Amino acid sequence: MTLDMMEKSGSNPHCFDGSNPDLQRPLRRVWVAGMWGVTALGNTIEDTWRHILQGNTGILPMDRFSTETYMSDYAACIPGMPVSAGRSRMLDMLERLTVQIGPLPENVLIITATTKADIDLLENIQNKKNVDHDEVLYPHRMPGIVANMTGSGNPGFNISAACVSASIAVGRAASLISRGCHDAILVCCMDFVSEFVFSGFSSLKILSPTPCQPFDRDRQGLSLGDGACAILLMAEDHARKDNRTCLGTIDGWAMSNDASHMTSPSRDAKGLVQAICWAVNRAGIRLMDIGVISAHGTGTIYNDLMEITAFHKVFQTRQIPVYSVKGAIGHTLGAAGGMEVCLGIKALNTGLVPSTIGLTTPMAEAMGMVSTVVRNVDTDFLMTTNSGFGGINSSIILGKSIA
Amino acid sequence: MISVAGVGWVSWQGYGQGPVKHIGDMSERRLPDIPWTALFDTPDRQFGRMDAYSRIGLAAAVFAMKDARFRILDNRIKGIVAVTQTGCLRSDADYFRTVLDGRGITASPTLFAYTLPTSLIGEIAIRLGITGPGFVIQQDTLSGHAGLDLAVDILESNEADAMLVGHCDIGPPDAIQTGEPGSDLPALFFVLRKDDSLEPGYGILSVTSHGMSFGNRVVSGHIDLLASFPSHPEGML
Repeated sequence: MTLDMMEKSGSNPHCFDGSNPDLQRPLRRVWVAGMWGVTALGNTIEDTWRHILQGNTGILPMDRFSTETYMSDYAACIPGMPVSAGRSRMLDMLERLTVQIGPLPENVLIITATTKADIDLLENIQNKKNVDHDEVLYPHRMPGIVANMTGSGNPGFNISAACVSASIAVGRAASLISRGCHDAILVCCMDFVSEFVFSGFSSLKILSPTPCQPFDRDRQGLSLGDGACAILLMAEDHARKDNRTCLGTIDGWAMSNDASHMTSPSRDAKGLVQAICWAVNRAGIRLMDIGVISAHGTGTIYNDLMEITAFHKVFQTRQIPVYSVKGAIGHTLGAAGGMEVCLGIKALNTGLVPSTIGLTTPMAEAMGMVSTVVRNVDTDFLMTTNSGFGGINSSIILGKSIA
Repeated sequence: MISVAGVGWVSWQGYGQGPVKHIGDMSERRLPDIPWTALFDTPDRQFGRMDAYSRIGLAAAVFAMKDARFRILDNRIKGIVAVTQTGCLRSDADYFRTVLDGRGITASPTLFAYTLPTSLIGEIAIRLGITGPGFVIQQDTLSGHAGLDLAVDILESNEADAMLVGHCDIGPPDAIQTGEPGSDLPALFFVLRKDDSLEPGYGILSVTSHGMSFGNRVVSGHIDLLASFPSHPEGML
């Protein structure tokens, strides 16, 4: 029986077992009407994408703080972001991002996603360095800061969900638009490499001593990265009236929780399987319609194995193309899911599946799915997946641009 | 229709389930000791080891679920939206102290695990079988409506059958002056449920294009929802 036949007959035991809720289909189509970003590989999404296709990595030895006592000295840092007294690096990164953003629609809601916001200010306070207490210290102030920098927009709220923050922000924004609660939402995602986070991942022994190697047989852990991106989501009718261009569509989204462990993914991948199936269900498409997966692919032993386990459970014997961008731009934490939406849309519209940078010998379970070279793909749908601490998982289904 | 099925809370003076009428003297802001026996039928060794933010939030969530008479193994899909301002900032300060004390060598992985606001979500999900959407939002006021809006959006989209929604905020560590006023009620959670007549709750949360109302009163957020409970005397909060 082919996968298509299985889907039609409902015999895929994981996606069609009757536990799948009847998720509400998007009532209004959600366009990606703008996307902007800054990473260690470039000051724009286009620059970053070009470098990724060329096989370049931004993960390099860094000197932002002393790494002498940590298990790695590698990270993907945006060049030229010096720290200044009493001011967070976050603001510098956000300025580089927001300067790219053109005029926004009227009454656009601003939702941000970050895990630690300007945590370097806490480092400074505890190091007894000069700190201006009027500066931000909480993520809840980020939407207001973005509104000030862009000169428009209504500050909403920040979403914090570990490494899944950005994809949940995109999913919730898409839901609010599709149900008519808002016409336009700017999702702004951000995190940067701080000693606070670097030391923590080092203490958990999941930092790679060398640049990370997602889905590799010899992977040793993750590499952190700086990153910020902004995604303008709009209801199709509203975007057309506003003469916006459709760069892509958000067709499905879902999130789930493993409810099993605080820092480790569920070994049977049940949470991620659930998120994938629900996102496909919401998009109203068949599994066969998904042509490529932008995976979380951190390079840690357990994350990558869990993800591949989920893909096998859902797609069964099909060797669907899978890639991770974290070997190129590092793990940007609260920005990761947003970056992957932006780069996923580039992949869909160019028909190119980037190589997984850092990969040399694929883990046995991922053989035939991941690749060291750029591949061609002709598909209308790309799926992204993210998982994080607290057992949180998400999946987003992206569609191609519309003329 | 969405019913309000339960409420749980932790104040600076105590804890409990059901509508809170007196939140006590707030001049001494010391979190109450909550024994695991108040929450669980079987010992939970991890409960006492959690950071205060996760422990207090988990307690309020468990009280809310008990108030709603939800069985933990109930196979309905449950989700959670928690609002916070200061989140895990106390744990952040505690963790980074371990980094500074040993120049990185003594950084505590146990404390680091509690330096995400979503540590609360993870602890609640594990104990209450939350397998649906779960995340934290941070907004400039705990009394805003975004948390309630998102919980309703999730229910109306059929992403979950029941939602825990509320806030958890224990304020910043003493050494960090931030100007944030802090919360009178450190943790407060409601259980919202797609209404079924077999399990009547406190009442129906009506959602219209003009906003939400409960008991014929417009509610501006989850804190206002508490003040709208029929048995809750006006002005007690």
